[in-house]
Amino acid sequence: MIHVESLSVAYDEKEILEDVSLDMRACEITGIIGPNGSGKTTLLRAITRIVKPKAGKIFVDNLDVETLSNLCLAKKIAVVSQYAINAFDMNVEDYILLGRIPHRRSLQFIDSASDHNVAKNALFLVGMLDFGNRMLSSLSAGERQLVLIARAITQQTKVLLMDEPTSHLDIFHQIKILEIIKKLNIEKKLTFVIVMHDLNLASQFCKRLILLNDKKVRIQGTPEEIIKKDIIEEVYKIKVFNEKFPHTKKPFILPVSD
Amino acid sequence: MNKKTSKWIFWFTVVFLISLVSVVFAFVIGSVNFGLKELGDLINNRLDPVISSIFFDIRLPRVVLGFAVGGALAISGVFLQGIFRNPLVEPYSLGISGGAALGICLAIISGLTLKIGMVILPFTGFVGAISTVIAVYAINFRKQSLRLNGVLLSGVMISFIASSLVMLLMAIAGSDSITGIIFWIMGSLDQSNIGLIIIMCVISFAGLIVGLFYAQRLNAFSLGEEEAMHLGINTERLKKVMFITASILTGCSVSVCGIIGFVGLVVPHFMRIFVGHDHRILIVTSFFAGAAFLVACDIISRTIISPLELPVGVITGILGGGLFIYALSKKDTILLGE
Repeated sequence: MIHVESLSVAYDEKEILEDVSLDMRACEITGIIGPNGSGKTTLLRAITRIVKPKAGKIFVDNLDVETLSNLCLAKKIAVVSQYAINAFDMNVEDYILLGRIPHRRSLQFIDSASDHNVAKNALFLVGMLDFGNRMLSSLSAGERQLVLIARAITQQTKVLLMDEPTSHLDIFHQIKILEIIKKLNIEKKLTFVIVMHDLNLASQFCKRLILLNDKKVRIQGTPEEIIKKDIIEEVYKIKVFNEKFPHTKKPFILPVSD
Repeated sequence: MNKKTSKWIFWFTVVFLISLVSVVFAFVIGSVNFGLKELGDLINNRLDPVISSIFFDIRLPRVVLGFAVGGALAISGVFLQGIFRNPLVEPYSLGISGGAALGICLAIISGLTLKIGMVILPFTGFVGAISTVIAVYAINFRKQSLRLNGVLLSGVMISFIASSLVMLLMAIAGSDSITGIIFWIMGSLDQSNIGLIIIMCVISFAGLIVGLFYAQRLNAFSLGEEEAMHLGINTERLKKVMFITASILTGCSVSVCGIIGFVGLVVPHFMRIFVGHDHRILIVTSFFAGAAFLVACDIISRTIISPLELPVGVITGILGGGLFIYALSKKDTILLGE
C-alpha cells in the first residue's frame, strides 16, 4: 500500500531520516515504534508531503506521491495528528463534516444529505452518535480523540495515518480506541499506520511493526520478531523484562531499573 | 432542509433586513428629513429639485459608499482572522492603515494636493497602503512559503514606524495641512468622486465573491496549516489569495474614506457570536452587518452635532469599542474560542 524507497529527510541541515526503505501493507495495522527523535512523525509527514524529502521516493497505491495533487492525496490518506487543536470552537458534527471537504464538487456550497450520512456513520463507528451537538471545548481528551478519528473516517480514505492516538489517555480509552481501529481494519478493510510509544499495545494490536532508531529502520517484522529483550535493550538503552501474554502469546516487555 | 441550513437562512435574512433598514434610515434622516410626502413625490417624479439633489447627489453616494466600505472592512477582517487563526487580528494589523496615512500625509505636506487637487489623495493613500503590504509580504516570504507569525509582527512594526513618521511630518507641517491630515486620519464617507465610489463598490462585491469561493478552504484552514493540507487544500495559495484580497479591500477602503477603525474587528466578532465560525455563513453575514454598521454610524456622525459633522471613524471607534467591551464581558468563551 505504502512503499518507501531510500528516503532521506532533513530539516535545514539536520538529518532526521537517512536512507529509509520500508513497506506498509494494505489492510494491515502497521505500528511505527522507536525512541523520541527517531523520526517517526517525520516519516508520516513525508508520506503526506508536509515535508519535502531530500532524496528517495514514496509510493501510495503504486503512485509516486510527488506526482499526486493535494486533493488526490487527501482522497487516499487521512491523518489523525498528535496536536490537533482548533482555533475556533465548533460543534462536533460541523467539525466532522470538514472531513468531507476533499469530496466536494467545486461549486458545492452546502453539505449534502450524503455528507451528513457519512458523518453520522463515522460518529456511529466510534460510538459517539450522541455527541453530534456538543461543542469541541466541552469534550474530554478521550472523547476528543474519538471525534478526531471520526473526522478521519469521514474522509473515506483507504489509508489512515495516526500519530500517537493513545498518548495522554487513560487505559480505558487506550484500549477503546485501538479496538475501534481493529474493528475498522477487519470490517472495512482499512489500512492503518500508527505511531506508538506503548510497545505492549503495539504488540497486541499491530500485525507488523517498524522499529526506527537513529534515523534508520532498525528492523521491520511481526511483533514476535521485534519485541525481543536484546533488540529493545539495544535500541532504548535500558534493561527490560520480556514475557508473553498468556492468552494471545504476543510478547510484552517491562522496563526495569538496574 | 436541515437545522443548520435553516439557521443560516434565518441569520442571513435578519442581517440583510437590518442592512436594508439602516440604508432606508440613512436616506430619510439628515439636515432635511424626508417623510411619506417626499417619498410619494419621488415615485410620481414630482420631487422638488433641491430635495431631489440632496437625495441623489449627497445621500445616495454616501450611503452606497458606506455600504461598500463597511462590507469590505468586515470581510477583510474575517479573511485575516481566518488565515491567522486568531480572532483578534484586524485589517489594520498588517500596517495598511499606517502606510496609507503616510502616503496621504506626504501628499498633503508636499503640496501635491494644491498642484493636482484633492483627487490625488486616494491614489497616494493606495500607493502607501500597497507598498506596506508588499514590504510585509516580501520580508516574510521564505522558501516558497509565507510565514504568518512574521507577517503579523512586521505589520505591527511597520504600523509603528509609519505612524511615527506621520507624527514627524505633522510636527513640521503648517496648521492648514494638519487639519486636513487629522480629518482624513479619522475617516469620513464624504467623498464626492463618483468614479471612486463605483470602483469601491465593484472591489467590495468582488471581494465578497472571492471570499465565498474560498469559504470552505478557510474552514479547513481553521484546523491548522498541516491539517488543511491533509484535507487537500493548497494552503500557500489560500494564504496568498486571502492576504492579497484583504489588502486590496482594506487599501481601497482606507484610500477612499480614511482610517475607519473597528469595523473589521468588531463586526466579525459579533457575527461569530450569532452564526458561529463557519466561513460560509460568517463571510456573507459579516459583509451585510459591516455595511449596516457603517451606514448607521454615518447617520450618527452627520446628525449628532448638525449642521457640523463628526468624522465617522470617531463614531465607529466609540460605538464599536463600547460594544466590543460589552460583548467581551458577556461572552468571553465564544469570542476567544478556548
